[in-house]
Amino acid sequence: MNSRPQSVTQTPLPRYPAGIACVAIVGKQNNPLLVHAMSGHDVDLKFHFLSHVACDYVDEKLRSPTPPSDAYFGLLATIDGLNIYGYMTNTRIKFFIMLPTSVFTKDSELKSAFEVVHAAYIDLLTNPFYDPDSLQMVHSPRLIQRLQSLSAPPAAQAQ
Amino acid sequence: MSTTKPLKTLGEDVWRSKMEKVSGELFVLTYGSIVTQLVRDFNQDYAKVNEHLEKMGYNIGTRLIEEFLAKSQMGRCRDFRETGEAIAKVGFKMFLNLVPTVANLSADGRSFSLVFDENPLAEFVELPDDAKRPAGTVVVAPSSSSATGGAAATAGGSAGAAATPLWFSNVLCGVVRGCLEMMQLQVEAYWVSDVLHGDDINEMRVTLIKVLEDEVPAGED
Repeated sequence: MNSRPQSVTQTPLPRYPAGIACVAIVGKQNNPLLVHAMSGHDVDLKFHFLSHVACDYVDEKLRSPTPPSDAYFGLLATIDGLNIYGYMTNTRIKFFIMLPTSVFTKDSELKSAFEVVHAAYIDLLTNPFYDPDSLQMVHSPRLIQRLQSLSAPPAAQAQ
Repeated sequence: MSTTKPLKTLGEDVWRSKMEKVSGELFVLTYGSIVTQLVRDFNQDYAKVNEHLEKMGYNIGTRLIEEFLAKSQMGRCRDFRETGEAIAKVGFKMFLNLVPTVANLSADGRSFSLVFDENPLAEFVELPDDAKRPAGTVVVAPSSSSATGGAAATAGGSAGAAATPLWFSNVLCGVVRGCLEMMQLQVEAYWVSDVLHGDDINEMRVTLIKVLEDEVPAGED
C-alpha cells in the first residue's frame, strides 16, 4: 500500500480522507474567507450555509464546560449527508472540512488534512500583498492549488 | 591590490568569512512590506512604484559599493563582461548569497543579462492580477518606451493590461545602477522577465550607456 520511505528519517506519508466535498476557511469575525468546493461537487450556497452553521457549533463547543484542548475540534455536525469537521487556530481562524457521510475516515487523516490547510493559510499570510484584516473573500490561485492537492487519489498521495 | 583568485572562489570566501548574516525571512518580509506600502501610497500606480524602488536601490548601491570594494579587494575589470561576472559571482554572492548567470552578451560587449534561477526576495509573494505582465507581451527598455510615449510593451493585447506591471525586485536594478555609477559607468538596468509574472526565470538586462569622465566641479574654472 504505502511505498517504503527512501530515507530512514522520513516519516510515513500522511493519508487524507478521499472524496472531500468542501474546504472552508472562516476568519475570526466569522467572516468567510474561502469556501472551496472540490472537483466533482457543485459550487453552491449550501457550502456557505454549512460553514455558518459550523461556526455556531464551534462557538457552542468553546462555551461548553470542556472546550477542546488543541486545535482539532473533531466532528461538529452531520447535515444533509455531509460530515463537518472543524479546526481552529490560536488566532481564531477556523477551517472546516466537509465529507460525505459515505466516506469512512479516521481522526489522524483529518488532522493531516487540516495541517495542510493550516500550512497553506500560513503561506497566504506571508504574501505581503494579502491584507489579513480585510473581511473580503480570498482570491489566491496558489492557495486553491494547495487545497486541490487534498483531493488527490490515494495512489498519488503515496508518491 | 588585485587578486588572481577566480571570481567564484573570491565571492564564496568573502561571503563565508567577512559578511555578517541576518535572518533571511526577516529581510524578505521587511522588503515585502516596503513594496506593499509603496503600492498603497502610490495608489496602485505601478510605474511610480517601480521608479521609486529603483531610486531606493540606487541610493543603496552608491553606498554599498564601498563595502564591496573594501571586503573583496577587487582590482579593475578588463571589460564590461568581466564587470558582469564580478557583479554576479562576487557582488550578489556577498550580499544575497545568490549567484546569477551572466548571459546574452551583446555583440558589441556593451550589454549583458543576469539570469536568476531563484529570487529570495519574492519567496512568499503572489502578485495581484493587475500587477502582472500579461502573457505574450515583450518588455522594452524603459528609456526607449518613454521616448515612444508609452505606446508600450503590449504587443497586441489591450484587455485592461495597458498599465505597467509591477517589477517586485526593482530595487536590485537600482543597486546595480548605483554601484556601477560610482565606478564611472553609467548603465541602465531593468527586468526583462520575472517568475512572479509567470515566466520561467528572472532576467535583468544591464546596458552600458557611457563611461563617465571626471567632471570639473562647477565654480572651478
